[in-house]
Amino acid sequence: MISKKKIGLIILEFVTALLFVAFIFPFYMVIINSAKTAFEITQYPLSLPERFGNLFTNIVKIWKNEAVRYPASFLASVIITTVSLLLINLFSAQAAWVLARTKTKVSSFIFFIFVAAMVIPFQIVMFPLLSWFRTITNITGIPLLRTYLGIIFSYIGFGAPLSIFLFHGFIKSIPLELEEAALIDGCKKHEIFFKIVFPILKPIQATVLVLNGIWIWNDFLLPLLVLGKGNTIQTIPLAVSNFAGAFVKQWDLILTAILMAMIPIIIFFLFAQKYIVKGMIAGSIK
Amino acid sequence: MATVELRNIYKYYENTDKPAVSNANFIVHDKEFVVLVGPSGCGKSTTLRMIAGLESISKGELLIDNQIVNDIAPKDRNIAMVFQNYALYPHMSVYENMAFGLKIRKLPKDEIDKRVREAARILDIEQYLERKPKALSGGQRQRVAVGRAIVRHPKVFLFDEPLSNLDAKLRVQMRAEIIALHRRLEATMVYVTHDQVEAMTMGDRIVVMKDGFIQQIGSPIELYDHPVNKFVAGFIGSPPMNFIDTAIKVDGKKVLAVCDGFELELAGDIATKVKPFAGKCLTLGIRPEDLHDDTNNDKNSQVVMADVNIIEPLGAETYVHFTAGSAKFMGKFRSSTTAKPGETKRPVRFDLTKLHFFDCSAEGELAL
Repeated sequence: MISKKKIGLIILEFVTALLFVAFIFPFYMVIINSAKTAFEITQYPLSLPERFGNLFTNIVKIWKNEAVRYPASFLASVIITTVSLLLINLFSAQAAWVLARTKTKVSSFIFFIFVAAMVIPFQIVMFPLLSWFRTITNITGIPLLRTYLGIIFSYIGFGAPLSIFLFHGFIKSIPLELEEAALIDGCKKHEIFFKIVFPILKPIQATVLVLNGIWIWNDFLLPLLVLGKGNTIQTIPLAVSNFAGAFVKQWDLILTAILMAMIPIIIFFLFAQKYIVKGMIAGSIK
Repeated sequence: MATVELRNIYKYYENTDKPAVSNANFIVHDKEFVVLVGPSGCGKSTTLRMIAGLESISKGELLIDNQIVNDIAPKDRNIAMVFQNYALYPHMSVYENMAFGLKIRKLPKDEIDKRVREAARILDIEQYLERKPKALSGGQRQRVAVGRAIVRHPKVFLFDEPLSNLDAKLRVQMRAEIIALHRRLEATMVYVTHDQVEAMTMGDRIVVMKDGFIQQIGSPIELYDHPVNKFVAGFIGSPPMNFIDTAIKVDGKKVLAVCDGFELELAGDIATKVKPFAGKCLTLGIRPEDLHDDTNNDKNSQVVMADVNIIEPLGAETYVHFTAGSAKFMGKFRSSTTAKPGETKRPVRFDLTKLHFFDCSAEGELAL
């Protein structure tokens, strides 16, 4: 007789295996189809490629494609993601620190606004955002559309609410006495932040960097709106979209480009993933 | 080193009418070890934090080394503080923790190194200098926290319940180490604790606080022998003083303290002091160690018959709980006592020279 507990365990393992297959399947499809010709992909999408060497041929094709400008797109993605992440991390940590340590109605209200911003869908604000950017550019002369400044500024805005929420929870668990000890040791306010608080936030910084990093690196809609098509500045998702025309979709190049785009963010994720869970727990449980 | 003087200091928090600290007045002399003691919420930590500059002073003046420091930032007061949870910087090694305050003050590297190694030697933590705080035990962390204070060579050391997080055995050890450190550094120290044993064993003088008010300031023995009110009498001393409601009766030349179940005939100074309260109610206080497990009656003591309720043997001594009428009291006897739970009419000798009297109010403000 198999006990009820064992049956439960078998079902659980089966469901886990199914989930694993469901999650790994897109990766499998991207990897095997990156090494195929367009004809092979449409005819035998699930089979293994005839020649894995095709992968390198596809990579070279993408790298050299004049219309797509992959190296420049890669560089733009790196610049936008890195700068956005650094600034989101820095500004959100500072804002969360002040909000967590200032116990007034105003600070509670500002924190509430940040939390509320997390639940507003991007689609609702995207057109007003463009309109505002245009107005600000007209008034100040600072170009926000089709520039690095505009897209990075947008990412800081959209990334800040969740980041502030995460930092806020973590900072509340840091004993205030640490900051008081630093104050007595002779630190000024900015020194307390940069020398004491910011280094202690390392686990939650990793969480913030990974969560925002994956989103910003893969984002298509915001760069499409802010940077636009045919711009000299374009991110990898925009570049990849150039392979998909109205009538022809170059699946071999699209999938290889996706594979090329995936690798850096997967490496980044693997490097920082151990901090994610740690950071999540650290924020809620002291 | 320096003096610390509190002049009529008040602390009001926002949205409260009742001050957290009321009219605090005392001087900590140069090289003195003063302990602020009291129950939770009595204002002792708030007072210490005002001295540190971590809390603003609502009213009054604070002087360190005869200079008013009300508006001077904590970093410029030349004080060092040891916190209850040690407040060690978790991302820095022990060495970096101790050196941090000196680096911020831009001291030369070799001077920092010299001071850190000297403090580490004094506190016996030289072998842990490269470790992070999380790799240290509670006692070692506590030493690092003290070391971080020592290296600064401050005018005043402030301790905010630094031994509360340690287990009982380590607490006793660290208590002795802090006393030794005080003697060695000859420093002015202000120490906050809720533990009266710590206060009695460590302080040159003790400041007893309750509900934001200073109740009494004095040496440990002064507080023990001459408490100014019922609160101080009950707070200082372990086990605490017995309190028994009594009525004062004058019968000819005799002055009697009439309790429910027994009478004590008072003599000497105490009788003279209590006599004017004839016909009135007072609270009689006697410490458990002033009750004796024998019948050696003399003019300074009196035997009372009481029932034994509970026995608490502690090894070196035994606490015996008695009832006489409605009065309940406890005696601290030798472990060789023959008292047994349930025993009736057992003689207990009261030392009449050690009696204390307070008025019958809850506060027992008037002490005789």
